[in-house]
Amino acid sequence: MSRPMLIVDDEESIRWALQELFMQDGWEVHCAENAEEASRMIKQNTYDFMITDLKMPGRSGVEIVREARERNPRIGVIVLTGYASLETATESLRLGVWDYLTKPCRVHDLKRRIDEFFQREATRRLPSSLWSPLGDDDITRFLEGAGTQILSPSAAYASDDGAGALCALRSVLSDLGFSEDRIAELIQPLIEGAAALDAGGDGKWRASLLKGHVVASLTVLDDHYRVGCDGILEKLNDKFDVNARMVRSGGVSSVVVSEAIANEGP
Amino acid sequence: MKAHKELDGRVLRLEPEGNALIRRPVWPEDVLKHGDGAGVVAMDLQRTEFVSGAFLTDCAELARQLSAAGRKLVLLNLSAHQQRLLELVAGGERLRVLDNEEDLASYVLSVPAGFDYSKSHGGVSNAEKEVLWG
Repeated sequence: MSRPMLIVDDEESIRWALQELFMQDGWEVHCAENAEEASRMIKQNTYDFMITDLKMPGRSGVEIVREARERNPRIGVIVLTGYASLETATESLRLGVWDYLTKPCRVHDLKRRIDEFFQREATRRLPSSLWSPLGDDDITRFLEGAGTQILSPSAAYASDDGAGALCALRSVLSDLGFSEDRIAELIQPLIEGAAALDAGGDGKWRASLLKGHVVASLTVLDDHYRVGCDGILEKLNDKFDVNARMVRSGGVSSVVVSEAIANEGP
Repeated sequence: MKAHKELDGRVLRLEPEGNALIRRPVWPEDVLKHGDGAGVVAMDLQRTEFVSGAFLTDCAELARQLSAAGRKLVLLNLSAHQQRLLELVAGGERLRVLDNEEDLASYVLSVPAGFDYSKSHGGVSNAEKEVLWG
């Protein structure tokens, strides 16, 4: 069964091109030439994805995005505009738009971003059997670099560079749809671990997906490790509702943070 | 870490930049050397990434030391997350968090204008050097 997609653009050539493009890929494509028409179609149908222009006669595309997401919070939306501005980009992203592209845009990029959206959605809709709690064995295997299941479009990341690893982890969490506030909370235990090292970034960083959880760790030699002495992990767990723990094994210590990704994202 | 005076010399602004916090921060000599006459030291975190509790703990200790010398430390441009993190830090209640430049200007007007570190404190104690220079 084909997936329904709505294309909203006042330029007929754009509507025609996108319709041809996505019908070939098996989509059921509906088109609207202005916001009013789009609004009627949104009320009558449930769309999995929408590509919309912003600047159109009458109501703006931003209003259509808001209406579409109110009706179906799971809808994926890409804004495709010839009049990009910081203001509309910010507003679009605040409304949970998956991406904001400017015309002209490459077909390859457009399709890739749509594919990435549905990969992310598939991750979030895993069977409940895959959401079982992480056990000690899971964490041990994760720290050893084995037994992890890569589910994200972003690859698992391992690094010796603390700042680079934190930046990469932030990107992974953002790809998965975590809010900026939640990302800050989740990486805080790793920042505390890094801050407690005698030498900056001198550790092994790892991030991956495991059984429906995003799992990240920082591993250092016991000799270099001072975090946890003041109970900062426990404080962070209580304050930010994160699941951070210390694992000690074989002369090394690891701070491990895990978080289920089921209910995150826009 | 950048350091410069502003508001007619009454504020010394410190700006840790980038990933300053994987290592524990080392306070610049400027805190004391160029702090003469500045009653307020403003730690601006706008360009600082990965703020740790350890960093904020050191800020609290710096605030204690400065307070003993009659000066104030305030924090500027903290994110909501960082403000919540501050609540976990020992001595965090000593740190005044200001939301914007207007608040800073208002705050500066409420504290003594002039300050001569060498006269009021008789030089730099070893304990203070330890905190200020790491």
